[in-house]
Order: sequence, then structure tokens, then C-alpha cells
Amino acid sequence: MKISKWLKVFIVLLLQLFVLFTNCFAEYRFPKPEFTSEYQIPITTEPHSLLTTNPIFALILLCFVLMLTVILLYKFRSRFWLRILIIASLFYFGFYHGGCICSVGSIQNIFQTLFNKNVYIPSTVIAVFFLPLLTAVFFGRIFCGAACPLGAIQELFIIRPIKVPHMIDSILKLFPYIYLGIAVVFASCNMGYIICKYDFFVSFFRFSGNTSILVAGGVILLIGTVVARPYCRYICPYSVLLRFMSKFSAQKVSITPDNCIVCHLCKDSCPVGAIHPPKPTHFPESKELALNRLRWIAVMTPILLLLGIMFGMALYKPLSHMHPEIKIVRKLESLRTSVIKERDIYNRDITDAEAFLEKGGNTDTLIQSAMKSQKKLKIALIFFGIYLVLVFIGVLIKATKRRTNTEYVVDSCECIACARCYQSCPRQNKIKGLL
Amino acid sequence: MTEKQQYSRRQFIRWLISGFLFLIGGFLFVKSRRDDFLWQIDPDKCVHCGKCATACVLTPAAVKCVHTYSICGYCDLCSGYFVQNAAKLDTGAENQLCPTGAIIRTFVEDPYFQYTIDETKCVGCSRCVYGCSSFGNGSLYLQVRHDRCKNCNQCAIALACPADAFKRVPRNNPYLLKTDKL
Repeated sequence: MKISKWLKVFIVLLLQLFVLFTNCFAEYRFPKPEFTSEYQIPITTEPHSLLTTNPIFALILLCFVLMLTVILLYKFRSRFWLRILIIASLFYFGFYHGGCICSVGSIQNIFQTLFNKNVYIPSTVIAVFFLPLLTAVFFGRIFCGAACPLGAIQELFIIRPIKVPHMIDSILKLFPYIYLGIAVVFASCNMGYIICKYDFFVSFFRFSGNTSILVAGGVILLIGTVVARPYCRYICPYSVLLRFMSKFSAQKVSITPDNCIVCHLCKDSCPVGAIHPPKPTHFPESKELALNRLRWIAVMTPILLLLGIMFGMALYKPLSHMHPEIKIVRKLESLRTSVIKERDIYNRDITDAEAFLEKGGNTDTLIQSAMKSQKKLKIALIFFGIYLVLVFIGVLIKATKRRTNTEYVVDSCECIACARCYQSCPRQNKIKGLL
Repeated sequence: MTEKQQYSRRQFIRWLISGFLFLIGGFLFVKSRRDDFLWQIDPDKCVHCGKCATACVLTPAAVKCVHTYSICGYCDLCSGYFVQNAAKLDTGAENQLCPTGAIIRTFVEDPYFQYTIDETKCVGCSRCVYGCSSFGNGSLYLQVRHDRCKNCNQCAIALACPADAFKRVPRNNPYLLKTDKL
């Protein structure tokens, strides 16, 4: 037993000495020169970042913009000033600050910290994640109105919004839930931040970036001229959390300052379809039928959950190829048989497994941590499957819910605080003396 | 159900949710670090593959070559400056390894030469880094320059890096410079 252990250590050492590259042991070849002249050895410079891009500065501005949006939306009810605020915040958070770090991306930092040890998370990131959610609990989706640079850039591109058919709209709205789930799985298993990787507008803010992402961003902005805010409504994973929080918001957008005259002008003006028309108090469907449907959902839940778990397990194989550690371990096995090609100055390309070997990494600890990651990924994917099923059931239950209202009301889950409905409401215009 | 009852129930849920948010937020806040992070390359892990120059969201990349002079051997035949089998050891472009001519070679005293990086020209291709660490002292290496870096939440180079050399470092001390180990 003991001998085999020592043998193992010996073999590893041999491998490191002979098979592997020896670059990392080979630095400091020449002695330090002894100068006879009065030559002073220069010091390496360390340029620092600007104060105005400091996250704390940005955080204070974020608070300020959120507060200002609340005041402009609920107190002054002014679309004009809100629009100016949108442009100002797009200029700072987008073009000047460069878009990072934003609340949408901070989801991943939060979940990575929750499920991992030794993750570097600054307190500002936590504040950036929780501030918009807290405002949503009390004031609705204020963050989407002006403070979010991704929303702001799309807001300026809305030219002639069309109504998305209800069926297509409700199907597309499921995508953010799936996206959020995948992003959380990726972040909590240390597989990279996919929300940031597929952030379509950040390359506009920086005037440079990945070409395919830039093109996709352009396409989304073009679609945004007719389908208002496509990213916010059908992609944004943060909108899932904001929707949930703003469901219980204390302050809600009331379209008219006094009495609704049921003129449907506000409904036509809403770019995101957040305004619901008056609903009749009598339903064509009997109460018994709706109850029956609920019972069916209750019966189907365990079967669906099982299916969800199976789906999650089936996802393991394709997703495990994206995990950096598991990938290296798999490549190491194939590297054992093949010849590692020599690098030279004109061909310095190297795979991650080769780089691991070149730097003399410990294979045993890598395999151990890869095993742990494997287990973690499997568990995360099972939870992902369960989450998907719960979302599906939630959608079904929501469809059976009955709503009655006598005037036009704003769905605070969908409202993105753009104040277009105020502008179109004849009652408000009359009070303001515009009509 | 009366209007008032519904209102109070909603209010209760609202306080419940905000309490929950504060709880998680507080838990994370205790775990968190007070200083912000920036990305940096660990020069000990770097395998100078040249991906920094192309993977960065900025063009040219925020990664530049830096020089720790105290490690440098001040060689006449610098393996980070000259191509292998250079015809002549002078500043001729055909002899230089750097594609943009960003390394300035100045005479100090016989036989020593000082090599300085002109960061406005450097594109972070790491050719000189390869040359210096393969055949020299390894005094040339890559670092993220924070006057240029946009500090993306997910660094694009970190995703492309084969050696996992990118890591987050505190904002107050954002450089991992090589020091004189001799």
C-alpha cells in the first residue's frame, strides 16, 4: 500500500521532469547586471482606473436615478422629464461606465457566491443586485424605466410598436425563466457568466466587441423599432425576479389622475401590452370547469416533476462538456496517448489541457475537484428540471385565474415605467390644460 | 373578501419579501469583501498563447506587456526583442520580434541594453513574453492595464484563457507584478 503511494509520487515527479514542458522552471537564467555608470533601474508603472467609473460612485448614482424615477413617475407624472432621465442614465451607465457591473449580470455573482466557497464578491455588487428588487417591492419595475442601460437603449429605439398576439407573447415570455435557470446553473457550477457573454448591447456601449454579438444587438434594436423592448420582455433574466417582486408592489401606476372614462387610448399607447382592458364580471366558463382544471394540475404535478428531473439528468451530458475542469480531465486522458506538439513563436496556440500540463498542475487534485464539480452539476441540473416544472405549473395556474376590473388597469408585473399612458390619457391632458 | 383585508394581506407579503431580501442580502454582505475587484493576469500561470490580444472586448486589448527591470538581464541578445537567428543585433524591423515595434532598445553601458515597452503601441500579443520566458529571465510578462480595462463582469479573455490565469484582485492593489526573486 505504502510502496504504491510512493511509486505514484515518483511517477508524477518523473512525468513533470521529462514528459512535461520545463518552461516554468527555466526562468531567471541570466544574472542581474552590475552597472558601473549611475544608471537607476526604473520601476514598473501601475496605472489606475478613473474615479468616475468606480462602482461606489455608480452605486450612489443608481440610487439617485431610482429615486428620481419614482418621483417623476408618481409625483410629477411627466413623460418628458423621464425621457431626459433615460438619456442621461444611458449616457452615464451605458456609454461612460461601459455597462458593467449591471443588476442583470449581478444575478450570477450572487448565485455563484451562494453555492461556492471562496468567491470574490464585493459589497457593491450585492447592493446593485438588491436595490432594484427592493424598489420593485415598493414601487414596481422602476429600474426598467430609466436606470437600466439595456432598457434605456431599447427605449430610444421604439418607433412604431405593434401589438404582439397574446398567444405568441405568452409563449415568448417563458424564455426569461429558462434563461435565468440556465444562467444560475452555469454561475453556481463555475462555468462562466453566460448572461454577460450574451449581453447584446454592451458592445454598443464600448464601440467595440465581438462581431456576432454586435450584429445580434443590431438585429434586436431593429426588431425593437416595431416590437417594443424585445430584450426586456423576452430575454432579460432579471425581469423574472422584478416581475415577481412588483406583483406585490405598494405603489402602482394609475393611468388616470382621477376617473377612468374607459376610452382605451392608454391601451393603444402602451408599448409592452401591460394595460388590461375592463373584464366582464361573468365568465363564459363555469366555476366547476376551472376547479376541475386545477385538480388535474394537482394530479399531474408529481408526474411532471419526475419528467423534469429526468430532463435535468439528460442535460448533464451535453452541459458537462462546457465545464472547464471536467473538460480538462477528459482531454488529459486523450493526451496520454497522443504526442504533444511543440510550440514555437509563430504557433503559440495551446489547449487548456496542454497548458495545465505545461504549468505542472497536479493531476490528482484536478481529478478530485472535477469529481466534485460533476456531482454538483448533476444536482444543479436536477434542481433546474424541478424549477422548469414549477414554472410550467405556475403558468397553468395563472391561466385559470379569474380577473375582474371595471376600468383599464396596469399590470405592474409588465409595466416598465415609461409613462406613455399618462401622456395619452385625456383626463390627465385635461387637468394639465393640454386638451 | 373586503378591500381592507386584501390590502393588509398584500402588505404582509410585501414585508415578508423585503425581509427575505434583507436576510439574503445581509448574509451575502457579511461574506462579501469591502473593496471592489478588478481582473488581473497571474504571470506565473500565463502560458503566453496570444489569446489576450484577440479575445478582449477592446481593440487593441486592455492587456499590455510590462517589464520588471529588476529581473531583466539587460542582455545585448534579448530573446524578447530579437527574432531567432536575427541577421544583425540592431533596431531594424526585420530583426524585431514585436509586430508593432513597441519595444524601445536603449544603450545603457557596455554590454547592457535597456528595453522599455511603449504601451501606446503594444497590442498584448505576448510574442516577446514567449521569447523572454522561454529563453530569458522572464522579466517581460502580461498585465491588465486598468486605465484601459472596462472591468467586465465576465472577462472575455478569462473565458478564452487556456491556463486559467485570470483572477479577480482587489481594486486597491490591482497588479500582480513579478518581483526580484534572485
